[in-house]
Amino acid sequence: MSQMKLLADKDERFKGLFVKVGIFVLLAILGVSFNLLFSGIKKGLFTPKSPINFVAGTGQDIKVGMPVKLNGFKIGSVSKMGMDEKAQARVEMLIENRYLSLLKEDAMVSLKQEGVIGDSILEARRGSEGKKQLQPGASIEFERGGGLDRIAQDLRDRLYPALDEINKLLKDANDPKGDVRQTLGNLRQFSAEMRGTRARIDHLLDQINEGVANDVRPTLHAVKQSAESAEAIMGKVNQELPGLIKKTDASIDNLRQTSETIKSAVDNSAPELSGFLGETRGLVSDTRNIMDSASTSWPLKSMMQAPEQGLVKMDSHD
Amino acid sequence: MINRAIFKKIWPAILLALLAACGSAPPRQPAAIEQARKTEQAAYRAMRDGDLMRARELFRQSMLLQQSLDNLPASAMAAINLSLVYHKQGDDGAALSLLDHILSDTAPVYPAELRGTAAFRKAVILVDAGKAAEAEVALQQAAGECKQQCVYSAGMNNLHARLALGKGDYAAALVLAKSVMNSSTEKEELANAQRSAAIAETALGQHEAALTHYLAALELDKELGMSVRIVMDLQGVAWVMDKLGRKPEAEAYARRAAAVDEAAHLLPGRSVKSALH
Repeated sequence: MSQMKLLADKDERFKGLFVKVGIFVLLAILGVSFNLLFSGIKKGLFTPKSPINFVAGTGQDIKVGMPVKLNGFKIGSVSKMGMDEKAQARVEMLIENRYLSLLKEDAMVSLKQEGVIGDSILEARRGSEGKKQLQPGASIEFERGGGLDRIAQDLRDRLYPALDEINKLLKDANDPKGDVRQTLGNLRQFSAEMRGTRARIDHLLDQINEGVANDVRPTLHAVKQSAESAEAIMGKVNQELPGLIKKTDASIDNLRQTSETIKSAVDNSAPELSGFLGETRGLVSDTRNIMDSASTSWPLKSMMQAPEQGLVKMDSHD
Repeated sequence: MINRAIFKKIWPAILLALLAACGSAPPRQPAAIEQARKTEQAAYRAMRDGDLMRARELFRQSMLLQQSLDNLPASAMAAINLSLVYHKQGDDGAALSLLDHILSDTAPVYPAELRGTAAFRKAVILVDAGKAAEAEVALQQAAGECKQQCVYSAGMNNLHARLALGKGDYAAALVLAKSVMNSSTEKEELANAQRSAAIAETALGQHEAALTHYLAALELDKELGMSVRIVMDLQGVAWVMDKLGRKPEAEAYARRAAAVDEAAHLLPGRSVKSALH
């Protein structure tokens, strides 16, 4: 003990040791604090934010921390998620106040992917110019958009009703009790009755030629009946035809819409699909190039089997 | 003289430089040549994976690419490979047409070795198709292209043995098969020779010898992993054992043959040719 005291007293380097260590520790603490502060500022921890809510049918692909972007700039992130009384996903986003002023009352968010195979993000749309500014705590609309799955879903949603209509039309046309068959049957009956009426008139003319006046009355009566029947049928046809024509028109309209839907879906998805295929092809090509280069370089070169070339090995029984 | 102290300091750098030199990729070839090479390699991969449709398309591309570069040997090789794929797919017409083009007098002069190979391939296809007379002509042409030692002489002798078996000349077939067994070192041709010898010996009533040859062929074919031929060997063993009165063993081999055949049939990428057999 006395030895240590002796050393402390005599060695110049130990003078003011406590102060020196204290300054060093203080500087370290300051450095770490500045670092944390700087990171916090950079990450927007101290930026004032306001909550904005939306309700999604399902919380699939939405996560807490997911960025919310406007025109490619991050303006906030998903802060909270929960399920409401209707089992729908209730999502709260924290939007930086400086960007909140850019959003209008009818602003929307949609779930999108960054690139073809990128991460999912929430893309905000500003809303109409004339509308009021979005207030903190307000709720806005949400839609799922983009992505190949969505395109397929959209195509399916739009195609199914049209296909149902076509099915219904065909079913109606084939149904013996359906409008189409009934009308055709009525027309056939009308035609048969008209043939009968003509035969009766012919007969009447014959009778007149023979001067048998007594027979004229009943025959004329029959003519009258046939004419009445024809009139009734024509009335029915007239009644039913507009409906039938309307239905046919609606079906043709649906067919036209179907073709337009398919065309539009193809037009919309084709560029994305071709891009996707192009990117995939590029990726495969790049990977192959890397693998080729790696396999022909040391040390993999000595481990890899040399690629086969020339004639395929074959024998007398191949 | 380098100072030892300096050397001690710079030796890691020298080692690093040497490693970097080893690690550098070989220089790139012109794009078209590179593409032809890659296409050929991809065709090989497809062939090895049993994807004959893809192999056919890629070998066709490879052939056209090499033709467009006026690389006659490479285009002939691709054509011969393509003919093999066609044959495996059961399209012998297309296979023979490609080979005939290489052998035709009006075609560009392909190297003799490749013309010989083409003639040999043609003979194999014709033997498979049962066209013995035409196969003999093709075999003669293949022999004519060989100036000295043919690389496929064992295969030619095996083909001659197959033709002799087809004619019922079992003694000649046995002599030819044995000549291959004595001279060749190629496992495929050795197995083929053992099988041909076993077939001839079975027909000649030499069942013990036939059994030995069938078992030898079986061992080789198993080493080579050739299912269709393993089935043939197992069936041969079963047949010979039955003739030798070893019924339970014969039945066991027959069951093994059936099991191998069934499994091979269920595998994807099985060639049309083997399906037809």
